[in-house]
Amino acid sequence: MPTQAADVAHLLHRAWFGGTKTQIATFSAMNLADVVDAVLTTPVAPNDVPSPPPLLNDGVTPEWEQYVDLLEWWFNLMATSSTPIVEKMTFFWHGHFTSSHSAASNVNWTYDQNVLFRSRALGDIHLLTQEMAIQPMMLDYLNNRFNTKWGAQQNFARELMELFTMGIGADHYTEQDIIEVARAWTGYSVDWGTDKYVFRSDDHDNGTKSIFGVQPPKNWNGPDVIDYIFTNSDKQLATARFMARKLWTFFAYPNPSETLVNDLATVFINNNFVVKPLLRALFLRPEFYSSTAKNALVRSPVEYMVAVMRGLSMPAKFIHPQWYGERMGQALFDPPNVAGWKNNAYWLTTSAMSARADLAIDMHWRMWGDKNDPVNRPNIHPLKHLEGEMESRNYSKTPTQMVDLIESYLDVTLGAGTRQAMVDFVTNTRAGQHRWTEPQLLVLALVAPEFHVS
Amino acid sequence: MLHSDISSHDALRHLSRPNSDLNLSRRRFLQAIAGGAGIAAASSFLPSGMASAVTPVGQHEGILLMIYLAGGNDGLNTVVPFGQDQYRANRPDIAIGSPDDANAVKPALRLEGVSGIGLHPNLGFLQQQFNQRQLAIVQGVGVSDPNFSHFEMLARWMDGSTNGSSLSPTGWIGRWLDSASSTDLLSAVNIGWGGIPLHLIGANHRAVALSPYDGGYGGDTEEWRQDGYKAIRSMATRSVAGTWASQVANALSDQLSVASLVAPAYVGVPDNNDLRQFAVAAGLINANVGVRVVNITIGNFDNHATELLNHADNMKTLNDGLQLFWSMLSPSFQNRTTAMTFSEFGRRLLGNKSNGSDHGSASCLFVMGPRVNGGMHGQYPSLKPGELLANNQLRATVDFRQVYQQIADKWLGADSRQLLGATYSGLDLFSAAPGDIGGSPDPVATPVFVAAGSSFRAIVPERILDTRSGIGAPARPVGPDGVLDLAVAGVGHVPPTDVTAVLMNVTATGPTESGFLTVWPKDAPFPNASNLNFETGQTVPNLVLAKLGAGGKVSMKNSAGDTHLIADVCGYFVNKPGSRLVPLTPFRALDTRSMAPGVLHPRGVATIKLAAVGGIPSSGIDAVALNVTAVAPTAAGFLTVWPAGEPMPTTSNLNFDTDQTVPNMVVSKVSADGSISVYNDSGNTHLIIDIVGYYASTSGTGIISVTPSRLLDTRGSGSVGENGVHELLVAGVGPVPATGVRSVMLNVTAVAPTSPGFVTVFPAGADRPNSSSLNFSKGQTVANLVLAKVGGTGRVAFFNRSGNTHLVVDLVGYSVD
Repeated sequence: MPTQAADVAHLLHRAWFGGTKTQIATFSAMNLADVVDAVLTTPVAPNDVPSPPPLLNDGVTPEWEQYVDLLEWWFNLMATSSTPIVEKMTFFWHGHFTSSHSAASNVNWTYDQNVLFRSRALGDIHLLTQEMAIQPMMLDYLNNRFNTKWGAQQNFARELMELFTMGIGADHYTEQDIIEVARAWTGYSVDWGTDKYVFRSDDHDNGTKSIFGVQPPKNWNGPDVIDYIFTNSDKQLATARFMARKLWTFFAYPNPSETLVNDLATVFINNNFVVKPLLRALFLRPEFYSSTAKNALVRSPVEYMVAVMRGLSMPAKFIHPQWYGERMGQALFDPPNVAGWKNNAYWLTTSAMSARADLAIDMHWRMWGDKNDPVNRPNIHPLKHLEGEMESRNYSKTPTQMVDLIESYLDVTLGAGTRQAMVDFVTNTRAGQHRWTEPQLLVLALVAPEFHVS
Repeated sequence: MLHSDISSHDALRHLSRPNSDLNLSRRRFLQAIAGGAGIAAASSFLPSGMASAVTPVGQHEGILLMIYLAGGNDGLNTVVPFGQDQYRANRPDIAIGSPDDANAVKPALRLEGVSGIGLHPNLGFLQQQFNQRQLAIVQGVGVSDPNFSHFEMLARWMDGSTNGSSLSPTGWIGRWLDSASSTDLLSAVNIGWGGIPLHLIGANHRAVALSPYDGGYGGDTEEWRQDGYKAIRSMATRSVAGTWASQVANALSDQLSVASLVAPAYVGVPDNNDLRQFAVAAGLINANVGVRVVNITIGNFDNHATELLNHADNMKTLNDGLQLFWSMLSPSFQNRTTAMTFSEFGRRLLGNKSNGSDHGSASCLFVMGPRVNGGMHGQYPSLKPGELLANNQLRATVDFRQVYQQIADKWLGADSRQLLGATYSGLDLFSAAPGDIGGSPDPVATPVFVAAGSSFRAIVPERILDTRSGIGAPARPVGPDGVLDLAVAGVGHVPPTDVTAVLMNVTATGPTESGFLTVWPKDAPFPNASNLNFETGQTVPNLVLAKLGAGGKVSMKNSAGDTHLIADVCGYFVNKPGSRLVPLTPFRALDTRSMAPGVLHPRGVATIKLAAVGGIPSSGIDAVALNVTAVAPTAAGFLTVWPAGEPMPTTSNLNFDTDQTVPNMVVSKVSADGSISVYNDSGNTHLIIDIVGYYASTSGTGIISVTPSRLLDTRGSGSVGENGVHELLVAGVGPVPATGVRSVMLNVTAVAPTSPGFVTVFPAGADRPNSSSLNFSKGQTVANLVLAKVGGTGRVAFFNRSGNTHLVVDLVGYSVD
């Protein structure tokens, strides 16, 4: 049974970063289960692993430029990957197991963490949790590198349980558990010379610890705690529910029903915390295609920038994600705190919208551009044909056709009200003193409300 | 505790704007304006239309600066209990030294009348304010059932309600916005790039977000941009499918409204990311666009490691930021402003082994301002082992909502029971209500405005300063950053006492570098203002309304290079009966290009009768206020204006180079029949005289001169385009009262114009007169004193004839009915 094109487009906006007209047409002919399987296609490692950012460790590029290069590298992957679900989930893990590049200032650590998230993108999160915990990026960010038996440091222990696995709950863990888990994680550190993970047995507390009420108290180590969380029936249920809720919020809409959360948590546990089957179940839920879900999410700044890149065939270096991301409220590799980013209204501040508008203007000028400088200013403005027409006032397209034209570029369906505002703009500029502002119709399309939701 | 099934993720969501749709009643009001006739007329630009959506802050309304110390500030190292032995014993690696310990490096700062407790060594400004009783230190603030999650505790602080186990989707300031009788666009502002924090979110209203760097998209006044803005507003007024799409449209439309209103707040702010926020906060309040609450965020205070270094930086930021804030805040707002800090929790008494401290419970907070009841409040938590909570945590002695109760009831004019859901009491943090004259003196400066308007006494111009010949000062130029204190009272015909201000024509001549001159009352804080701008070798005059400071003197500061200065007094202001000012809409009384007597020849004199011209009465006038322009002179020279029939004085009003069109405001005594004479020294020149007001003993109002303050600087926002009109709210701004203001004296500077042209200043809402206030050539920075009648909306309008130019506007005086 074919799948409705609107449902396919919705699925591709959420699971990927949007689809092409061809992809939507192809998928529409298939039944939903097959579409979901196709959407969840992941590369057969290791052959399909992206090659590293070109400037990383090239021996000459300064740290900041390497970081910008890394940013652009990931943005380009998100916009053009042949397996976009992998990049979408890598993005999810980055917001979940947060770390901050500006805090660590080690571009290799940032890259290594990104590689880990990609390699486990749809895989086993029990393993992923173990692996991320002992990467230098995390050991540094949550100060576990300083956590020793001479002085325990609770930061990682707390967030491991509060933000990374179970979430707050009186029956999940107690303040005393945090103190004891911190002891279990003593000695897991970073070598100052090599900047690599090191376990310092001298700093590790080998005493008995009473954790989660497990009797008798025993000599827990750090990974033991994670293993327990993913295998004890109470702890794994809390974790599965926490993760199911978070993934549903990320892909569908906030505040899912308890039934949904419980159903998905069960799928997660039954599949030993492997993400792909969970996502399959998630994308097959009828609620995912409900009116509640459609257009229920504001595009995050990263998703907005990727949508601009895709709509205008713009490489990341022209988007300047290192500047615009911060101004829009989402500096990639630099979440505001350990809890990561939020959603929807979180993005809708006046200052963030100002930054989105500034990017739109930037894109217009860059694309309108200078014919003599095709490298820096690609001469591919969707409305380039206006150049001569504005001079001669001999217009080949009506205002309505102009709006149709720009809509066709951007993988967006504009509402009647927005279209009317844009048609009026074209009509007015052609009639008034400032007819040469008509190409700014592109700016209006990029700030149109429909382009900021998915 | 939260309900066990509420994940911390839910708590987190509470820290920012909720997911739910917001019913923004304010927005409907804005859209009604945006969609109305104001946008339809091409010449009616955004600022005037949207500005009517904001109401200036009332004289007795409190303004609150909230400083969020992100990450949990270590109260123990902020307000240091050096008198308790357990302090040092528990955290030997990170304890601040005692001031009683002669060997201590950077010990805690002593507080007057307080023993055993001091301030972090980097809090020198706070110490000073405490000793002047303008700083309340609230000790032991927290909750009785602490949690140690950043997010859960922050959610509780931001919510502020007393709901036991569950958090509200709104915050305490947001609920105040909902309850306030008049809440508009900028009532609450969050400076930053993230979401709106929970405490600033109500069910129907929320704060707007402003970038720390500029007012953002939508502030440009060029006419061609207006079509795009109009289309974006139009999208917001039309129905869009889906809740979130319409919220996107509304947020962008709000941004358009905000951008032009807040542009002045971004002028003259420092580069430092944290300090910049304090400066922008002061600028927002000074802009008088209805801001009641500003929230800024500094830090990271989550010092799990190497705390001594990091926390010292945190403290320095807080200290320097507050000092900057109060120094930048306009005196007229100081009595109405209070600053407070807050943080989600303090740190554990026991230091950790990373030379840091882990999450704690009770901490301290600061409440600061002229109306604050300075001193120690609450009790310092005991550090004795038996009196701590589990895990070496401090026991709170003050519930944080007790602080909110004071802020809400005593400062914001709210009902704290409504905002907090319970009755709190026990603190007494304010000594007086906002705006009251009582209470303690202002921390930085006292209000400068004179109680009543002063009368004007015009005199025949007299030269009281000429550094070329040693009049009024030694015969040498004023150097870079040089300050010259000029005695004015008692000099020449200016009486020695009772003089509040003088009008004098100040001329810079022979400057060796480009620069500017600022004139301000002696011993008043140096203002962010300028009176005249010059380039190397130029001779540039400008009329200056100079309020007299200590000893009847004014100070003059030269920004760069060496320059000679000349000052000619043409009248003075006294708080006695005398002439009062009647401002007029500018009227062109003479233009020799089309009117008799035609071009003025070298050493030629034109005499013109101004009585009964352009609104000036036929008799009873003592002086006239004119804008005089020399047009296209054939040689370098100057003009002198004086009352007809009197001997010509040895002063000048206007200097020009060949072919340079130069205006200057001139206030001149008139002869018995109401005439003036104008002398042209060399070359042929045309002459334009625009009448802008007159002084008469039978009518009019007194002039209140003020320390100069900057009202507008478009270099922070966007230039004024060709045929562009920028409207500027002056009523209620800075020292100018919100009602009854008839005229303002402004020093207007055009900066970097892109083509030759002129600016006309006129009452907003009136037809634009055929006159000019300021002429310039391309690239020339030119200032002129402008007497501007205020329009019915409390605004004056600036019209730019051609090219783009930036405008800088400094207020120097005003008159009231």
